[in-house]
Amino acid sequence: MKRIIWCTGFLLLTCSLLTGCWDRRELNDVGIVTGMAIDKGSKAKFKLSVEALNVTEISSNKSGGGGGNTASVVYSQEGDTIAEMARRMNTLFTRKLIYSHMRTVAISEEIAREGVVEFFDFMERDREIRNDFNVLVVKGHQAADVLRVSYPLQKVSTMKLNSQLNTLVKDYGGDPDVRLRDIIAAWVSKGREPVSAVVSIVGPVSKGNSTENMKKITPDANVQAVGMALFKGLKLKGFLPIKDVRNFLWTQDKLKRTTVSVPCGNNNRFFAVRVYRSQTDTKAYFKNKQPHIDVTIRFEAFINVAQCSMDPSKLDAFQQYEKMASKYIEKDITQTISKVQHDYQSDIFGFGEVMNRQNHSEFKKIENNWNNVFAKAKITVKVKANIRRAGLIKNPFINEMKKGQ
Amino acid sequence: MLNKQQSSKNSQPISVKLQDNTSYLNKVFGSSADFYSEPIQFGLHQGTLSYLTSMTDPHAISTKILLPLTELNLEDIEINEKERLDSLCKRTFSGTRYSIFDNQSDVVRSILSGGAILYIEGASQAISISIGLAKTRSIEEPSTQTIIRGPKDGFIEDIGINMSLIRRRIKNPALRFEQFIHGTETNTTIMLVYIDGIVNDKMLQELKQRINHIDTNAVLDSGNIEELITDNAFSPFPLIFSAERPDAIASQLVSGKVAIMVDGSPFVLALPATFADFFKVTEDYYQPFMMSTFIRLVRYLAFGLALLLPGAYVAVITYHHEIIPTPLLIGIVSQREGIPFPAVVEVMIMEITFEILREAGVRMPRAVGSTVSIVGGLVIGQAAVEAGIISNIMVIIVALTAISSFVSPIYSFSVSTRLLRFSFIIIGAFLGLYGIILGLLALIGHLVSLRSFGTPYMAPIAPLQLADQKDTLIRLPLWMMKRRPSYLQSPLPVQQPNVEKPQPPQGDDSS
Repeated sequence: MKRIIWCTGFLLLTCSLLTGCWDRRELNDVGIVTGMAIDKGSKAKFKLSVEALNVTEISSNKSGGGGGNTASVVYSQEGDTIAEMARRMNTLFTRKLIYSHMRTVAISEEIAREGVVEFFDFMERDREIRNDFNVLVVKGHQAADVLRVSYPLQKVSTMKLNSQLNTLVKDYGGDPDVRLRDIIAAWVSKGREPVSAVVSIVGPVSKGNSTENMKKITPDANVQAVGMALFKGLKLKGFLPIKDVRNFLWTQDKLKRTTVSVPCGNNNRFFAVRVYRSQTDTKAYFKNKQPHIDVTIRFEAFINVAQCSMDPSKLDAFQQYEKMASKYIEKDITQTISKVQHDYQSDIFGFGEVMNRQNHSEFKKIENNWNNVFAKAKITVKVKANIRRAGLIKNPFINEMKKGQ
Repeated sequence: MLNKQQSSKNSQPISVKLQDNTSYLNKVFGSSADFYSEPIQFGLHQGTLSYLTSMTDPHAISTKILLPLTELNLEDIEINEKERLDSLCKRTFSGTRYSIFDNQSDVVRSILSGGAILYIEGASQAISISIGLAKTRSIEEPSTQTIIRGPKDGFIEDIGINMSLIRRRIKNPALRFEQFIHGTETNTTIMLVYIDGIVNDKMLQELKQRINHIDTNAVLDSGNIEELITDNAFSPFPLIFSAERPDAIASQLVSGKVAIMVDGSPFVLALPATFADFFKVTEDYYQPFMMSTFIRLVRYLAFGLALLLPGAYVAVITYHHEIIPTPLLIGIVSQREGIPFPAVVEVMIMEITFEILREAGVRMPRAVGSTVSIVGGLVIGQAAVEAGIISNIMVIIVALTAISSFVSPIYSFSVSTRLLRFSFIIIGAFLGLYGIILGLLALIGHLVSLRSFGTPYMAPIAPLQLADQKDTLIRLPLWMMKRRPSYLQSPLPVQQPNVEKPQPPQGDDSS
């Protein structure tokens, strides 16, 4: 009996070896894909461009090479599904491509406008691809061109874009900070429409497409973040500039840090506040059959520039600064919201979701018509600025200068 | 206390005739060059003094036996009865360890363990005077368990000196040494050491029974005993603690454990042993507890690294590229560019090279020792990388693993990680991280199933004893440890009931 148990155990153990190694891939046989770009194809439905790393060029290990070659290789091909093309890329590349480190997916404006974005299904479904990459819309160019613009400090264009956008959102709030999962969540939600980052290329693409571009102090071509794209349903409806992106993030309570310039009056002088902590509360309710949305923002900031005549060492001047900043930001955000309301009728702010949470039964009645209701909603923005400090100096030197100078 | 089996087998009584006795001994020892038998005369009595020159100190023989005998006025003593012999011994050999034997087998054993035998014409008993050989290695700092702060002495090969090292530390009448003799051909003395009243009696009985059951021909080191009494001979983990340091053994004794000394071995065993014991060093208790806690956690970390690092590296590198952060992945890939071997082969080459180097380093004659470091540095160092057969990161992995495996304070424990590391490399290469987890589960299952003389090996972690956590992963200050480890089930569980946190006098502002 004991022998039978031993034998069965041994056989079962050896079974585990039978499955072994089926997904084994040596590191020297893989090509790491850091980003892809999707355009409309001329012969087939899509054109997929993939950027794969040339690792020896990037790493600091000089013994591996590093003879001024490009850090990545980009090739494109056409086909009807991204999934098929992604696995057919070896018609052009030598190594098996792995997509698990993909950081950026750029789609062309054309595709976004037509709303042919069903390939996101593949990216969500495939077990190798993460769903937390940046999705960008490329304005005015082929999406593939974004992959072909080199940059001296971060030689791989898609990794450069990824870190560029991440830093931008941390320091200024100029990128909507959405990942694929956010976009898909917005698509399936009845009270929200998706947004995505928008980039554009400055300079001629043909010059960006070589290491020569990296040898100049100001590279001939570069990829610039220009704001965010606004969708309604699957289709792209329009673009908003960087400043509106910040206001958008502010309403989402996702703003980390930013600096706002506030005019002192009409004398073309400004003061700037550096916002370092902010909290946004949104209330949504119906009053007289009209939806009301109250956005209350409280933030903490310090004065970064004070060109105004008020002396920040005085309490009442401080309060005046607070009041001016509040009022200015209030106006600014209200403008952004009403522009979206009237020009696009697309609730990118997710106010519908707030309404759904706070007044579920009322929202249920109008959920299929929410975007139109949103366009007519009365939205009030209240901003309370708390300026805590004035930096290292108190009175601006302009005030301290001798009269008559 | 001597081996009864042997003494009853060939117990031949001592003859009253001197001639019979000497011829008996001559027959037993044959013509061995170190056996020496000399006739002596003291007073009116004839006698024979027999001993092994290799086991006795000639100076001691003349000062402790011959000199007192010649100085004695023996004329009025009739030597033939045991009482008379006794009074002779009292007057002559007081201060020297002596005993009186009735039969020849005891005599033979006494000679073998360094005694001098005095036969006296007309007496049916023999006097045995213990004259140890004075020539032993001097007490030195242990070569395997070095510490920075703390006592520097170490056990040596002589059991008598080892006993005194323990007794000098534990001046307690309850400290017991129990003698066993094993090895049909070596007749090695084995000492069971414990503190009566602190040690768990059931465990002690079990241990005595196991020692009595030993039936072996030779005991040359405590490692032999360890293998013959261990609970699970098929485990890579040592179930018995061994130490070269008297303070380590003393601290185990006072906590309620038993030590086993073997004559001729500087390694003293202590049991029962738990997994956590192998991460403790006596120095932990001699330096500030915060430092000890930190170092102890480092030891556990090093154990994990030594066990898993190469295996996990192979698993991640060949199956799970997605869990490596991109910049690190780029670094690893660029280093592996142009390496002709799969990662698992690369790891195996390096690990086996390292094992060869380590073995060579241990066995090599001292004079050529420095060659190992020179050649070894070439084989697993930069040269291998520049030759393009090994990646840089692999050198780091192997070096870190090697250094980690040396952290374990007890050598026999680090051997287990050395063996298991290879199984983890292989299972990682076949099944990836899934395999590593599977292997770890099996390992944990094995560890919790182990027992060392009735104590669960993973105690006090599994079964969890909260009170014992004060001195397991961390070490709390000494004044917080009022009790002995509960898993030892000592009849005297409280070790220092009145200990208190030291602090200056309160409420006195006179300064």
